[in-house]
Amino acid sequence: MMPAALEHKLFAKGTSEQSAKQDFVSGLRAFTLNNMAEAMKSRFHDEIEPSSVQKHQVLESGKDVHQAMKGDSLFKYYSSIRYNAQEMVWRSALRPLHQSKTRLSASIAAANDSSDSKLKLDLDLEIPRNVVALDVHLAPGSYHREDEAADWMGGALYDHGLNIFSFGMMGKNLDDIGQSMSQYVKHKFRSFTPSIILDLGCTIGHNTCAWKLAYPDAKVTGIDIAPACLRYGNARAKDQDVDVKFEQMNATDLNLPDNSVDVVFSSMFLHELSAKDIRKVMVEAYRVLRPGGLMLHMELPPNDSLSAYDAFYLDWDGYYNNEPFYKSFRDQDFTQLRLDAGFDRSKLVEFITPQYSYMAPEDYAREIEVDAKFGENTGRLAEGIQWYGFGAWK
Amino acid sequence: MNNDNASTNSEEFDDGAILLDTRGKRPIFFESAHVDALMTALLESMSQLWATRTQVRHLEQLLIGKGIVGVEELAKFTLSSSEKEKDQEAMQAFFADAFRTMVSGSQTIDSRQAEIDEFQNDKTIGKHK
Repeated sequence: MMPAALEHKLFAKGTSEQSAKQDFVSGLRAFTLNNMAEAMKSRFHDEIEPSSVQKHQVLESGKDVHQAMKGDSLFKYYSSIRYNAQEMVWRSALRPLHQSKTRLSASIAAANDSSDSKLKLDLDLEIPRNVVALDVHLAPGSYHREDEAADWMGGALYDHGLNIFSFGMMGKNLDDIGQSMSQYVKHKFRSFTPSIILDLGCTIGHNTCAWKLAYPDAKVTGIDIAPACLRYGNARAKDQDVDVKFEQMNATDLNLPDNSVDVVFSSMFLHELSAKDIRKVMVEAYRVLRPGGLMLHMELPPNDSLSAYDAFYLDWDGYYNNEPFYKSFRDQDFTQLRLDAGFDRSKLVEFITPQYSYMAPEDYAREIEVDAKFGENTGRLAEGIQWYGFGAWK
Repeated sequence: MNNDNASTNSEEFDDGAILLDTRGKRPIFFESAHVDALMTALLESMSQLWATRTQVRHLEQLLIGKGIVGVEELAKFTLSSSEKEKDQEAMQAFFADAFRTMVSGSQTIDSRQAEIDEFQNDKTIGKHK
């Protein structure tokens, strides 16, 4: 699979040379995350692990495996290529975006300044340190990037970069996570008909929109702390004629009344937060949920479900892709987190789902009837990926 | 067609105004930062090679099909999905070629010399019964 042109008018196509360079980066990532990752795993099991056992070295955790792998040539090549490819994702997206700045600024302003705009910003809201202190995912300027005459650049970069980064594995609209999670809920809990849905840390709302498609009668809102993402996301949703709201808000301090929401959702969001903030998010989710409402987070699998090697493999992003909480998030006790926020042990939810976008609906419905187990491709971008969700009913 | 402001289908660089670099220091994965720098140069060269190859293919197809090539035609031209599929296969093979040394076994030149010396001095080789 390879990335296709994004299907909205905010897509900056670039020249044929620029498109070819983007295809190259996508292909490079696909090769590295499939073929090289497989070779590195074999190297570990065939050489590194037996050698460590001989030396009586313990390889019980991802950290142990990381230590043992650091000197290996394949780990060095894999890491170097992945790091460079990550930089190339952003660089190859930025030039076409820069060239399209005038057109995109006009389109985004037209959408956001219109009388029916669903965008609400609170520009006095402080952007937290986990976003501003470093360039998350190595993206120059991070989520909140605003360029001269382009106060939407962080969002556009996220959209175009994700399209290259995911080498065609996130769905045509980059919304496979949102689609898979919302469709899982719709299929599994047929009597549940939410009317208010909230997406935390929604960035450009690509997964927020998927919930509106699953539940067309619901009022769906995406919140984020980065105005650049919300400006772009609102214009993107409007262009795709999806009726969702976007509001600048911090998920650790929701500006919403108690018992007012039916679904509190997030995707790949919690692992960007400190342990302290994750606890605040859980408490806020419990507070704003109505009785009978659902909290659901699509996330990386917990470390206690992974082998030491697979934990090491996921840790790579934490150490080398500017995701400082990637490991500490997975080290937490996901059950205790929910219980501490007030949820009842008997109402916890946890599941693994295949990708909805790439299956016939009837095949998807059949497949989710079988409880999937954690595998090496749970939450890991590679062939055969499955998404992991956990949460609770209130 | 959102190929904005392009007067040619080759990349035009006006990078002065664009923030392209990530903040902070890069990790050194190899024994020397020089090797890491070479990896970046290598991968960028590969990217450029791939882009050039793609453009040549575009031009070839246009020349075969129409006989005349112009900026407008180049801008509108995209490969068919079956041709793209073929390209993807070729790309993966390209990577396998370029990275073959990384996945194969290797040895220091001292070890190599010792092995050759041992081979040269092996009295059992060439001895006929």
